[in-house]
Amino acid sequence: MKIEGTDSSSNGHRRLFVALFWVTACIMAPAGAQERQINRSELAASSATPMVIDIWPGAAPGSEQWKQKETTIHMGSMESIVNVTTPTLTVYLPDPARATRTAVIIAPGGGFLFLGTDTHEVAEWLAARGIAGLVLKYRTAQIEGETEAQLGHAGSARFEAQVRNYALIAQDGKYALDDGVQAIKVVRTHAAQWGISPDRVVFMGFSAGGMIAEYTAIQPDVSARPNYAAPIYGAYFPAVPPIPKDVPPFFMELAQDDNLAGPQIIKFYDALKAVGYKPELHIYEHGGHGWSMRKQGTTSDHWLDEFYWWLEARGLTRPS
Amino acid sequence: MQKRTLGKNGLEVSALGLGCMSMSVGYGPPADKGEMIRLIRTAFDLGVSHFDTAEAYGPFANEQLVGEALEPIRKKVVIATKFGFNIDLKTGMRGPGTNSRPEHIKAVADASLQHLRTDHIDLFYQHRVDPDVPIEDVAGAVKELIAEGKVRHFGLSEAGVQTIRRAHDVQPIAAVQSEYSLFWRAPEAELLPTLEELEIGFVPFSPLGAGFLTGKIDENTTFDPTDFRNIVPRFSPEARKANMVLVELVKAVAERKGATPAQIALAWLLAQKPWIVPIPGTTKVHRLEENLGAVQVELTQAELLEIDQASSSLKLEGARLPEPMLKMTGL
Repeated sequence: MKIEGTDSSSNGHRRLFVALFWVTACIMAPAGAQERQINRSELAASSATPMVIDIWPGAAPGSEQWKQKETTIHMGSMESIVNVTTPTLTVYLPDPARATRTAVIIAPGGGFLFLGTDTHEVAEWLAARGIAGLVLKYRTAQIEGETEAQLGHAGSARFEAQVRNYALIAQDGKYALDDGVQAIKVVRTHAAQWGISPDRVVFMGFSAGGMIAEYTAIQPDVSARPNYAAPIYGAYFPAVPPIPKDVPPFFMELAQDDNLAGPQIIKFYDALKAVGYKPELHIYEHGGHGWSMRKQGTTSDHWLDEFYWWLEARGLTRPS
Repeated sequence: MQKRTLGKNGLEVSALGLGCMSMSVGYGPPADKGEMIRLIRTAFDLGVSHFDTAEAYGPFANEQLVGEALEPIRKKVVIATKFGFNIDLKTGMRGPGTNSRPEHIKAVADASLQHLRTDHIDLFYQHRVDPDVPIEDVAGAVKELIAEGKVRHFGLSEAGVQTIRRAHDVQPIAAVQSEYSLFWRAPEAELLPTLEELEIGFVPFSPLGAGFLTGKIDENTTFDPTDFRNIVPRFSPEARKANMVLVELVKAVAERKGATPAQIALAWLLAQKPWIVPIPGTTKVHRLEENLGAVQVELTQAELLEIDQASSSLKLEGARLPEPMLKMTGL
């Protein structure tokens, strides 16, 4: 596997892909949503330079023939990556002096089309608290286009089609789900090297990344499930599959004005609950969909603290 | 600013109104509320008396913004809002399709009055025709709201001409609001003659072609992910490149007149009929001032003819809305 250093800089404009909600005649953006610069003082410096590693040895299986070129595009203030063909993990390790041996794999959102780059801020935030943050760059559906404008338009058009036909979401996410499972295997393989406990692997995902988190937690290979799953406004499309035995504990968050994924998230929660699991679900009054690190002046702004407290209650914020 | 009259019952409005949607939705993240309140009040100070919003913009957020901004000057302005999408009034959750059932229209009216901080809606549009509710029932519900004093005038948006006639028989329509600009001239075929015959005013939305006619957008422009132009075929980079000929035409006229392309586009609309009232939207004061400057731009008959001929001969590329949205129009 290739290992290389990477630039850890974060330009403050990164934010998770805020989905296009223009479904019929207007969009369903949260009331009062505002851009905000991330308060850098919240992020203590992480001691290590993040590493980037490929998660598959050689070409990722199933997409060997993909020809599109991975490109970073800018739409307004949003930076995202499209046409991902080589999935990677970017590893933010905490200062060994305060390491908890807990690891959180973080899958960004973006309809399996765009990968928001601001999830690196979540990884830095966690690393500053002794928790390894591993940002998963998973394979996205391949879209046509040369320029940023063409790629942005093509991806948006596909997203709009997904919203009307959930089956397309599953189709576009097929390889991303495999990458999610593979990422867990890679993290456990490197656990000793990275100072991580293999039974403290959390899979957090936003939106489409949340669907990956859910999939990894219920897919048949029990040994490759995460120990904890945390889908953030993440729903399972097109329909919630049967829930098996030995599903890890869930931490879920959504805003009740999330018209895009809200109802489908609650179905997933209900499915877990119906077979005896006790998922923790936080429903915020406002927040919409795709808030990530953006502050909106809503209670959902505190979502990451609440996730942290959930880890704390499980002893995951202290060394094992 | 000069006034124009919408409909037979004398709804008087400024020749240019202010479309407020983009302050909350459609063109990127919502703008700062305080700034937008100042913008709306500046528009009023500059002579704008007609402000356009809708329940669906947010939902609710845009009505709340407009209501707060206009509260101190409520008696001096005309507020237009719209009902008809399938929105849960408690949660704001958007269901599929439309909902113009009479009881829902009345509930929306009450909610809108609250959001708008007012006791009456000057112009209440059906946002999109509901295929499941006869338009007579819709017009009847609005007629009752008018009788109750909660609504002053009735409007339709993106409706077909047969629907307009049927509704007008039950409750006279003051205005129809649909897209119209040099970028989209389809209303000229059937809609405008019908409105003229029935003495109904016309309120063109996207009078600047969703920004394209300003000349500030080309094939390399990218839009914020929440900007609806991302999913509009007419705004694909290829279509933008192909349609640039129209912008060049408008720019050429603008240069000769010492005006901006946006002003030419608006002046052209104003010159079409005296009962046309465009509602350009913006989130920037300097754009507002620029747009309002269009009322000073007089296009001569020769110039109008030149623009008309040049623009008619252009074959523009790309549908003006994505397919599912287009299906909700012209019903």
